[in-house]
Amino acid sequence: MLAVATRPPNSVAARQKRRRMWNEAFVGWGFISVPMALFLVLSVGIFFYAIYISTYKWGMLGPRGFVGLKNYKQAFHDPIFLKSIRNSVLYAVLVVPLQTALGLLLALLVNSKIKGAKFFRAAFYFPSIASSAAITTLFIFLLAPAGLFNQVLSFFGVNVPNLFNQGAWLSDSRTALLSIVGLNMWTTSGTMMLFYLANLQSIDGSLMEAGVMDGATRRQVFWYITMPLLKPAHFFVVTSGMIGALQLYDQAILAGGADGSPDYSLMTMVLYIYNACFRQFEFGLASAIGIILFVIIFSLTLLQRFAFGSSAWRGE
Amino acid sequence: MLRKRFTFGAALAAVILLAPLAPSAIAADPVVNTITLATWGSSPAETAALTDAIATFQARFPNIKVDLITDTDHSAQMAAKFAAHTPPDVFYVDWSVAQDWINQGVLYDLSSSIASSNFSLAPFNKSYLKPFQSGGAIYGLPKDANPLVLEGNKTLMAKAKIKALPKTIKEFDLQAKLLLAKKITPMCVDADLNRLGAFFVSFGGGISNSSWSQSLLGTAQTKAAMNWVMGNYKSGAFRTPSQLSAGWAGEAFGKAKCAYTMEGAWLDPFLHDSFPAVFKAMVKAPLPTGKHTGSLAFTAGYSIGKDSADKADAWTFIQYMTGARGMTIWTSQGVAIPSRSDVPTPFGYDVNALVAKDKYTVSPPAIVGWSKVIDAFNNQAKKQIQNKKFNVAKASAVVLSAAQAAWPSN
Repeated sequence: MLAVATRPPNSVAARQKRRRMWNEAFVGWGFISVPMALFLVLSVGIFFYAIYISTYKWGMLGPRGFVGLKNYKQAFHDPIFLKSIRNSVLYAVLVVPLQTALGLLLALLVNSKIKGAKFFRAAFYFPSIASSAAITTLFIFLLAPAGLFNQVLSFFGVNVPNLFNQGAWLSDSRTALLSIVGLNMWTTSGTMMLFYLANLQSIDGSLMEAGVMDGATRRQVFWYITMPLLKPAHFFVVTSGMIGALQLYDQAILAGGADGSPDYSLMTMVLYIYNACFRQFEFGLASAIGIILFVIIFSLTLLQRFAFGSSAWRGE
Repeated sequence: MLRKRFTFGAALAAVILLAPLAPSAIAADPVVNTITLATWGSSPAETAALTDAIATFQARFPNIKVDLITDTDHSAQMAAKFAAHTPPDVFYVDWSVAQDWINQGVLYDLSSSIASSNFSLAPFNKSYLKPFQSGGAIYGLPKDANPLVLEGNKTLMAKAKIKALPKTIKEFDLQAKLLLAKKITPMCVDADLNRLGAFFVSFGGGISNSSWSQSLLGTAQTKAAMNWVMGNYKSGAFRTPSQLSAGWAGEAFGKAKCAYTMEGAWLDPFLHDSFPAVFKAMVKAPLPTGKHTGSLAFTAGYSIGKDSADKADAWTFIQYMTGARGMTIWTSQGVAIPSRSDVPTPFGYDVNALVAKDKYTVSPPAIVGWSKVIDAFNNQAKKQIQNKKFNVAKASAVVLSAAQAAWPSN
């Protein structure tokens, strides 16, 4: 009784507040503990397990001997793997700016007060939700020598059989990857449009109005007000687009087969992993390539984060 | 009253508790074991033939039920199951991966089962057993065989006044000119070693020696065959399926985009179902001869996994399906031809059977790492022919040396 009496009157309240905070924290941690445990085991744990596997000659039934860094050396001594890196990077370098620009253009279009904006928004987004296999198969038909694309070219007077690739866009090593760039630029632009649209609609309109009142043209408003304010969307679209682009697989295997033919022009890093794993059954090598791919993606993401500045990824 | 109820309850409880111990007056249902069978996706005709064969097996062995699994990517799905130590009880093994899987130690050696059940391997064509053999052990039995034959479209041939399929390379060259003059593509064949290799054999060379220990890609005869093949691609006598806007050669043939193609027995049910008019107009013959006859034959086998749960019932199933009775039912609809000599050739497949028995019909080497050789050959071949004005000799040399460089012993 004496002890209670000698304590400052607010100590009980402070203790209750601390207890409440602990309780809240406990409940909070309780809620995230299950997904966090899954994340740690299935993402972080698997990553370290892949590093472990990559140091072994690992077959379908498990380890067949420690080999250290031999799998990494083997990968970098294989010209097909080096070509797969070149293809993946070239694809990313081409497709990311194109899908970003197209996504932004579509977002600006559906954000303006045009008739049927809701319809166009749905129409532009549709390719993103359609099955990748179905879209790619459709594209294979469209780009076949006797396909619609060549028929349109013929309609405009192009002598398709005399073209350098004889109209075989997906089965010519000089145009196969570029055709996939065109395909994915179209299919992913809808998703990019949504990200930009969300950012565009969060921009305070008074900023643009102020620009206009100060005498800025529409182009100046776009370049000097809208574009800088879209920085968080730019960062997100470019980063997620690049991560996705470097993991190109389904369109490559559907159009070029498991061997990424012709001339390995459609052999991407992930397709190489598929081959190492499921056609050559070298799980150690496949894990090593997975780690190399992770390092490339992680490095490029850090580079982009640095290039865009902290305000972009903080969403400021 | 209470005592009566108690007595009745006690009697009922006793009956329930003791029932399992009492000898049954009524015959119990026989215990049915279920085995899993993993196959790859196939045509409706193949599925129907397999279902029929399984039904007859289950009628003969009512205590074994077969649970059919059709994989979409058999090799990848099987790899995952092997890695998890949960393979199906029985599964298809393609000749091209058989040695890889044996080398990985995932297949069960059937030698003891074969010996204990006195199952004779004598009726099997030895070349179809070979992909499944290693170090004196046998890890699978060939369920069927499929050699490449020449298929022709009589309607298109008639337009160029061709009455019969070419018997020799010279005849093919003459007919190709006649067809090209009528703007008909003579042959649709993919730039694939598993097709073009047949000409390597007929020119007197080949892909590998009979023991698969040595490549024959560097021989003069193989080089001559490759020059002839690449010359045909340059002249337009050969076109790839993609050049004809088709997914595979059979589709191009079915759409009447070419007069000839070279496929196995799998083409027939495909044409029958999808292109019945072309199926009716189809004629078959052995591939044109060079120095002698020559073709490639492919097989697939039934195997049991080292970790498969029910090996005994799985072996019963394999015995039946690769035995004379099961194979007769499986091949009766003509999706493939028998790999056993004591099984009758299905109606309409005499040419396929004739080619299968020919001494110059060989299996491609099912060596460990074969996929790398195939990939190297096919990628280079497709690259070379994409240029309209390629140098035949140079292109041939580049393709063969790429495949040779990928040969596993190198």
